[in-house]
Amino acid sequence: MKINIIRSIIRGMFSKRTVYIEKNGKEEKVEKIVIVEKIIEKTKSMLSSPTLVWFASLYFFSLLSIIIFNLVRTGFDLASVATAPEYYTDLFLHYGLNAESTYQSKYLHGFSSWLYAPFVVVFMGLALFFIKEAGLAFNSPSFSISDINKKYAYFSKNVFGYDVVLFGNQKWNAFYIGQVWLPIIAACIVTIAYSRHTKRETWIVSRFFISLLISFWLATDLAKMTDPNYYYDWSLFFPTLFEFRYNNRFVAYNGDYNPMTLTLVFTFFQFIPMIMLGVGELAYSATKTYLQKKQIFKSKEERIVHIPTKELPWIKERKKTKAEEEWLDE
Amino acid sequence: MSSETTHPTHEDVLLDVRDIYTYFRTESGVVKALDGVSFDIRNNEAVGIVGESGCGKSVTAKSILRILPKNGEVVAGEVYYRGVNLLNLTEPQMRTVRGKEIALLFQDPLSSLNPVLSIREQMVDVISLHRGVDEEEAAEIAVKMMKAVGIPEAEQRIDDYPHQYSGGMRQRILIARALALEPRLLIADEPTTALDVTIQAQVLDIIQRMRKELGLSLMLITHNLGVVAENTDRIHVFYGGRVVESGPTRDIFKDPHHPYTIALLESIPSFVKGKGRLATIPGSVPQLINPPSGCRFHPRCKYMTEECKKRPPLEKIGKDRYVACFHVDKVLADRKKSS
Repeated sequence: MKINIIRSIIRGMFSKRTVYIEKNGKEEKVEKIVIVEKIIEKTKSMLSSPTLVWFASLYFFSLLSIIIFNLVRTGFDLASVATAPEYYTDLFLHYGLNAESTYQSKYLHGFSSWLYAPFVVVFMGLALFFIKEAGLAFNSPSFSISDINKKYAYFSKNVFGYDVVLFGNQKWNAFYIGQVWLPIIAACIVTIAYSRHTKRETWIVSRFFISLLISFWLATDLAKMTDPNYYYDWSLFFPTLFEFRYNNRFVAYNGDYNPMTLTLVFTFFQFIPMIMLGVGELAYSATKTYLQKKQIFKSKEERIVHIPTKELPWIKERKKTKAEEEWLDE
Repeated sequence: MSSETTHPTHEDVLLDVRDIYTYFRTESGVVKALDGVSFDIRNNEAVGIVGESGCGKSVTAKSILRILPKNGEVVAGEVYYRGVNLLNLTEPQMRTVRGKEIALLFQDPLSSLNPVLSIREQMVDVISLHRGVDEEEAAEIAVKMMKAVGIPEAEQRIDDYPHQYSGGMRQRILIARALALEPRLLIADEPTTALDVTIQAQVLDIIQRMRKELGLSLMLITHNLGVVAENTDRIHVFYGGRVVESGPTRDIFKDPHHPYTIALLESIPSFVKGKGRLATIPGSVPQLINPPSGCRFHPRCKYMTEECKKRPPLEKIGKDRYVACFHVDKVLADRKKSS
């Protein structure tokens, strides 16, 4: 019985479906295998999802801002474009406790830095922007020599744009605005436009899990900079969950930057762009509704012409109901 | 009375719809359901409104009576009923028109009747409100009308509930309720769609008989060409929220001028033409959010030229005959050749 059910499911998956496609005014008969069609459909849907558009546009705008900032910092030449991701990967990986680290991360050089830099700047930059006593720079106008003892809260070198402070708050500087907020805002606009255009919503669960994965990836390398010998002991995964409840560190790790904590912190702050996106979508819908209403209902009030009810031809000739008599009295 | 509100029409014209535009606000954009629709209905005349689903037939009825959903509005145009522009009236004034002057008959009788109220309650309430009579007199009128539409033992059955009636009987109840108010114009929005064929014929017979007895005008909305052929004096053919052709029923069936009307008539199964595949219209109904420019039928039309991307006017081509097509001569020549 069970075998028959399994067999019929498999047969159903690999069965062929005949469809008719219109090409140049002629109908063509095409046979499609159900499972292949489903896989293609699912892949297409995933590749065109607003979630993917969000991460792709975030990557693109972050990379663009990295390149522009580096060009302005070093001068306009091709070498400056090529080294921009390496420079910013280095800046973030050597942040705070990792300032003196000599560990050579594989993301510090070459092609891999082009993958790593845009995400580390936005993910880590956003967290550092919000955490008090973190993400500071020596070239900040508010820096005093007594802060030298708080090196753990500082970038290891001067940060370009940090000295251009807006609104009197040292965190509101050209660096955070240009390299963290502008890419996020631009990605929000692109995603809202895309999701409204395609009528597809961003699925918050998939976006949360992708943010979690990216955060884990970034956090792992930051932790490795602190302790190059660290490893995830996955054999302790279940014991830490069920047995070592009072000393639960999820996975064993002895370092200064705990990758799990960093992962959670980075993911937590990614809720802010998610909220921005939600608010943006609501604002977009509300504006569209307002404009449509304005377009459709503009003449409604103007059109009513006050004619005495008793002058309407059908009221003149017929027996009035109580309600009609009341209007006539008015 | 304001000069903008009234206008001198031919005495015979009961309802004159002039260039109305009805738009709907939706999540996907603004739906231009009616895009400059004009037609008229005369006293004691039965007029058919024909077209595919989604071409704006029901929206026209709702625009006339101003009962559009909240997201819709007639943005331009005039609807003159007995010389008064209904679009200029206040809501209480419109209530003097609905039911008593223009009655509307919907396609689904079950959803038009309240299932928890008896037929007596539903009919008496409406009659006493609109005709200003007491409940006893209203009940007498209700029974009289029920008998007139062929409901047996009306005195007893008036106390039954809608579920105790068959589909055809429910539609008769609605006809009785609508006509009990003695309207001048009855708008029947696909009154037979939810009924089987034999009952359809009975209901249409009742509508025709009552129309002649009471001397009222009828606006029959349907996608069934057979129904309009038998029950109307004139036809207005709708396509994509516009009138593409109008004229006397006999003339339209005998000698259609618009490529859409021709295609529509060719798609009726015929015993005379013999075997073979049924003619279809290639393509699909236009999306009214982003409709084709110019003539809305042009993407599906075999006579399409560059000129069709401009809007064709509804031009008079004979007595009571109007058509909106740049290629009428070519269409007629082709028809002559093929016949």
